[in-house]
Amino acid sequence: MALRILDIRPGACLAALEGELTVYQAAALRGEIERLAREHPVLEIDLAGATDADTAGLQLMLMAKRLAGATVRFVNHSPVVLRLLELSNLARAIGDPLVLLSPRNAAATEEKT
Amino acid sequence: MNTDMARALDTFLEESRELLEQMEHILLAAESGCLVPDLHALFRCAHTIKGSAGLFGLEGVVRFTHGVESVLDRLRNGEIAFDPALSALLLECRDHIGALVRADCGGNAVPAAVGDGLTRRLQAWLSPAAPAAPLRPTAGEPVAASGGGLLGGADHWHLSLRFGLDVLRHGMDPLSFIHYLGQCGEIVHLETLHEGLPGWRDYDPESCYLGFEIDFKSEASKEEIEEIFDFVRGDATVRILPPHSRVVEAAVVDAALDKQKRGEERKALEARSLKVPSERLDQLIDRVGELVIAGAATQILAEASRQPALKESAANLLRLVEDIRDTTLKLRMVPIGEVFSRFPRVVRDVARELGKDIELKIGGADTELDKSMVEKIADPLTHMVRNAIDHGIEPEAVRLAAGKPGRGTLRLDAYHDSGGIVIEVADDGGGLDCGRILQKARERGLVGPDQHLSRPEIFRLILAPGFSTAERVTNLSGRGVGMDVVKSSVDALRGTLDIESEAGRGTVMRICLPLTLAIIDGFQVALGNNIYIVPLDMVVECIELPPDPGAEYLNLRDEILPLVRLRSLFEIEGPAPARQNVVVVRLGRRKAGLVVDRLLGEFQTVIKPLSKIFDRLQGVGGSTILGSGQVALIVDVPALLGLAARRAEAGEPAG
Repeated sequence: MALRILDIRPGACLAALEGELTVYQAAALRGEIERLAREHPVLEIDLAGATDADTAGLQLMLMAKRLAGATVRFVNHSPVVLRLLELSNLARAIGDPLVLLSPRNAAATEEKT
Repeated sequence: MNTDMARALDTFLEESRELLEQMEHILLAAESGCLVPDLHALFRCAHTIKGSAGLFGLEGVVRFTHGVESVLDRLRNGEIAFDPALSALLLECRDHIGALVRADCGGNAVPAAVGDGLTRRLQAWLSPAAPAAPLRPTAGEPVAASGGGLLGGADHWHLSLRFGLDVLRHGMDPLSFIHYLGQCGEIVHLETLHEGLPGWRDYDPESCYLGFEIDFKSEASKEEIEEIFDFVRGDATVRILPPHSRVVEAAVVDAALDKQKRGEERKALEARSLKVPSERLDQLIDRVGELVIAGAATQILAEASRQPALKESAANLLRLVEDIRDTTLKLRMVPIGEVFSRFPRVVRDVARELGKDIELKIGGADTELDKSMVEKIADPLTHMVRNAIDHGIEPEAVRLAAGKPGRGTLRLDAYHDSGGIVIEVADDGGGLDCGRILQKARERGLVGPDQHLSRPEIFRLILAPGFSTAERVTNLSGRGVGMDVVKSSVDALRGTLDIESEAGRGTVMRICLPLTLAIIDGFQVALGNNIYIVPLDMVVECIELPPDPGAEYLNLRDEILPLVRLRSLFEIEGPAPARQNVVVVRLGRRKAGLVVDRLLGEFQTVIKPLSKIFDRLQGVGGSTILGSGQVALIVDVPALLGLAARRAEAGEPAG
């Protein structure tokens, strides 16, 4: 399981990503996001545990945002995800609030992990 | 020109009007120095107009705009800086572009000398080293002619990357190439193109759908940059444009243009608004008007039928119809900001001409009112604004001597108030001089020598035709035409105009307008067998007429009201009933009593304008059709109040 469910409330589900947000997990994640989003109108995915990310992961985030019938939110982006969003200039297109990647914040995020 | 072409040209006209407005906005902001002007947007505006004009073969526009664009390009690249002279020149150029576009779309021709003069002045901003690039305006390739401007600054490389679907499966990560690219130079700007993403169903997480447009600053050679992408050669299309490039491959431009256009489309979608030709809306409102009438007819029949179920369903129907009426009328509502937006320019130009320093503050630009009123209120407002700047706000020296800030303030405000909209034009100038107005009015014989007037009455004198207290006639105002025109325009919209002024502190002119002209709540009255409608918002109360035949006045709780006997005014035949009623109406501060036979009660009324042949009819403002199919005339209350006032002046004194 690439997504570990942390909490389920009426209408909402909080799940944490475990491992990589990369092409290696992309197919598995696609399925799990689809399944969870069908059951819960609001799906929040905690990315603090994302150890690596690549173009496929980024695409997956973009796609999840377009998923009809559900709201998918990404929270607690890990530094590697933040760096990727910064590089691709897609933070706005994805639209989730981000903690800016300054060295101090990056350290704080890592501590949390 | 065939109709398709004409329609396209209309679209072009509309589009350039919007772009020119945007340019004006940016230039004014730059001039006031309050904002960092968006020079890229400024350039884009000119560039887009030039491009579209090229498509239509409007060579005049293309040639002139090209010169402007060259200056904007230098401005954008920081080669020259904004100063007041430049922004003033660019504003003139903007106006000239507008005139050229209008001329090409069937407007008045523009003398070529104007454009030539402006072009010569623009030359001063183009350094001798970099004269305007010669232009070959060819319809169909307007973009290619203007070079890399669109793709970012001229001193960057531009990289266009499109990856194949299988690049991820081949074990390569496009972003890691870009990451590496970032280490060989500076990525000035990067845009990820994600429009290629499919629907969720077709989405294969292991396929790559993304593309990238990158502005890249580096000392590296083209070969070195190409080498970075050697690994993905087979799986990607890489296009690299060197800095200062003016030869652009059409495909790249198309892709970039496409991207830009999609961005605009997305923005338009986000705004969630829709352009609808206003005549369609008018048709809809007309239909809704008929619906209201038909609904009222059903209601009457249902009432008469004494069937509770039918009555209830008719009442429901009427409620829904009323909802639809309100919603439909809202469709015609536009923010008054549409009118207000022209004033920064008006104020700037007028203030400059008069050598005054004036700040314009705009409030309530979101306040909505009927589209047709927006169009009609623009001219009167312009008059008022010019007046306020010319006569209201004193010259700087006078202001400073009076202990006021040298910079004058003009405030435009709009807000909703009890079913109407209020528009205020306020200045912090010297205020109206009661003494001088009265003196002038006495000279002109508007006021008798012994007549005593209250302050508001004195202020109202400036609304008389030909009245001016200005000692000096300027280009702009002071000739005594203006305020009476404002007054009659406001009257025509069934509005009122009030003036408040305090010596040394300033003047507030307040226009109150009804929200819409199409449908009103009416109050039905009967004269003999005829039904008349008085707009309900003007009705104050109804009382029985005291039995005193022939009386011209009515004492209402010690207030003397002139009476208007509608029976004699409208020449109703047949004897009057034994008991008649009075409808007390008010507009602004004027009141009068309308004598009618019977009171019938409230009725929602759709105003149908009267045709031209009834123009000479006195006291009737329109007609409507009742539920019973009978035609009822709508009483023109402002006209009747005017009539009563004139009679009071001519005949015996009131009271």
